[in-house]
Amino acid sequence: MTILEAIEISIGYRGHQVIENASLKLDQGQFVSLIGPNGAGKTTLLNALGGQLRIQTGDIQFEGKSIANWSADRRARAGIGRSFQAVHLFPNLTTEQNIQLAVQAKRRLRLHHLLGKVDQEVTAATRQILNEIGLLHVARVAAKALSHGDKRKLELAMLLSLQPRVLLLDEPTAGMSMTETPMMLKLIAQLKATGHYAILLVEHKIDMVMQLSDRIVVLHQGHILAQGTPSEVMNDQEVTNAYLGGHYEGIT
Amino acid sequence: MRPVRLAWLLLSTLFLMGFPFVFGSGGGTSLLEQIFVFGAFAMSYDLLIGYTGIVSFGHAMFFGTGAYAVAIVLSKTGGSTVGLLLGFLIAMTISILLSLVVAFLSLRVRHTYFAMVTLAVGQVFFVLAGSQPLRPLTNANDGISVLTPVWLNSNLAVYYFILIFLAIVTLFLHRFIHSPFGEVLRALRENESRAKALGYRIFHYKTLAFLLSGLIATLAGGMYVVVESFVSTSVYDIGSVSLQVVLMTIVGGVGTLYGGLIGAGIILWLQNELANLAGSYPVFNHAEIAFGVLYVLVVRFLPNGILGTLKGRKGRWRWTSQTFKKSQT
Ligand SMILES: Nc1ncnc2c1ncn2[C@@H]1O[C@H](COP(=O)(O)OP(=O)(O)OP(=O)(O)O)[C@@H](O)[C@H]1O
Ligand SMILES: [Mg+2]
Repeated sequence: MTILEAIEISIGYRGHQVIENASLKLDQGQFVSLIGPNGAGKTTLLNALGGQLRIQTGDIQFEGKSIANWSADRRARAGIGRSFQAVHLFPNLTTEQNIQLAVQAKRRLRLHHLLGKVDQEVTAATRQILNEIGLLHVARVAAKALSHGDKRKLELAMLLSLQPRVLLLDEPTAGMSMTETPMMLKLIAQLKATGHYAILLVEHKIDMVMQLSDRIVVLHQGHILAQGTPSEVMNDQEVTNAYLGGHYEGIT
Repeated sequence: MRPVRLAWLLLSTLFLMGFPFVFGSGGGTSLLEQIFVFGAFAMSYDLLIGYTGIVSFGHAMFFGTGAYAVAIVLSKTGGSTVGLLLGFLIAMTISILLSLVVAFLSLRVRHTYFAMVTLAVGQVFFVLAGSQPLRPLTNANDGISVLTPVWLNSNLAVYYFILIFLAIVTLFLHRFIHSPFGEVLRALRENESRAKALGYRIFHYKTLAFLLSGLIATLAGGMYVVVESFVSTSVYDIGSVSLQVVLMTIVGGVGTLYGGLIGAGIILWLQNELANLAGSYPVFNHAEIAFGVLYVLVVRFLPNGILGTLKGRKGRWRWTSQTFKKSQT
């Protein structure tokens, strides 16, 4: 069953067209990767799905309903979670507060919260997530003082705290060191294995994409060049010519 | 609460409670009354600038409205206690409506636009308060002298009344900024688009912050009338109210809450001293120059304000001691 769908969408920044007539489908529990060279428009497409950007033509549907006019926060509440290519945290708040804010987001704040404390369930859930993701030892450290790998982990932890149904992941391993990357790969593989999420991953690491994806979508200069199973895409002549240049090891 | 902080709180409470007995109810006490009023006002402003990250250049719209509403109702009711209560109730109602209107007009869009709108709305109130057609209500440029209820006729009673007001405001704000709401506001200040991506309705939270901030500023304005028994268009003045509160908050430390109180103390004290000096040396009539210099000095040498700098030192120390421990294990 399709959960999130972009139908012939176009997006531009002040006249210059970045995405033209792109269509994309994400099914329940499916793992789809979006690949393409730098500047192809991958982040732009994710921004359109997450509500950070408005589309000019076409439609975006979530569970069969048009959400093209929904704000980013409404989409988040509906279950579309988004992670960002650049680290995007609350830098001066602690790791714990960052996660707590994500946990709290799902619940409504009520009048008694105005002068009250954070609910016990929220603090408990926050502690549990900190523990699971392995950030308990830095719970009281400001997010900006974390290592890059920990920042990335925190970002993912915040995303999962929202209990989303769709994960839009924009290069979760970007900027990670050789030692940190495998940990993130394992985490993403685990997320896939749970079967809870429909995942759209933007990633340059082709091996990772090949291994995890049910389907791959290739974006090139704002157009969708090809889509299909990993082997279909790899054997596509157009893709080989335009993007992979015959040997995909070249791109990382 | 940590023992040091508790000791500080007890000491300052004792000092403030005993002040009029030790020093009499003269100049020092009435300066303190002003500091309490403007301190509450500045703390309300810090809720906006420091905790939510939005700048208003028209906070006098609330302060002035509180002052005028209380003054008008008091003078129409001959200075009764009911009049005082009614005045505050009306002031709060107007304040809520006003903040909702301004929020809907300008809080959805860019922050610079919001700052401009608050400046303009503040100026509208200044003009209205001094306009001739409204003279029956506001007494135009002549201002209103008011009678306060009998139980507020002694200096001591006013002093304690304002002190209690300050204590309640401080407690309220302290609880609020440490509540889940306060945390969301800080998140907005830190990274608005991230908060949005988590699902927070940004506009609702900003409106709430603006509303509460305005409400406390309104109450402070009403208290100003209790202290001064007089109100004039100066309560809507941009320079001596709207910008003054920005200065107080910056001097004390943006985002520190109590910094506003410290800032108000320093600036009002300085203003008082300069006014005394101006008696013998007319140069000191131009207090604004001194405040301009103060502003430049603070921004250059203490960008986090007084309290912010003190807190920052402590914070840095704690952080380094923690990393040291970690690297040892
Ligand atoms: N805010 C913006 N204003 C104007 N142009 C933009 C903006 N953001 C992106 N672009 C342009 O849109 C195009 C697509 O950018 P986008 O960030 O979506 O690419 P990408 O596929 O995510 O690239 P990368 O792999 O480097 O992350 C680029 O040509 C870029 O210059
Ligand atoms: Mg990108």
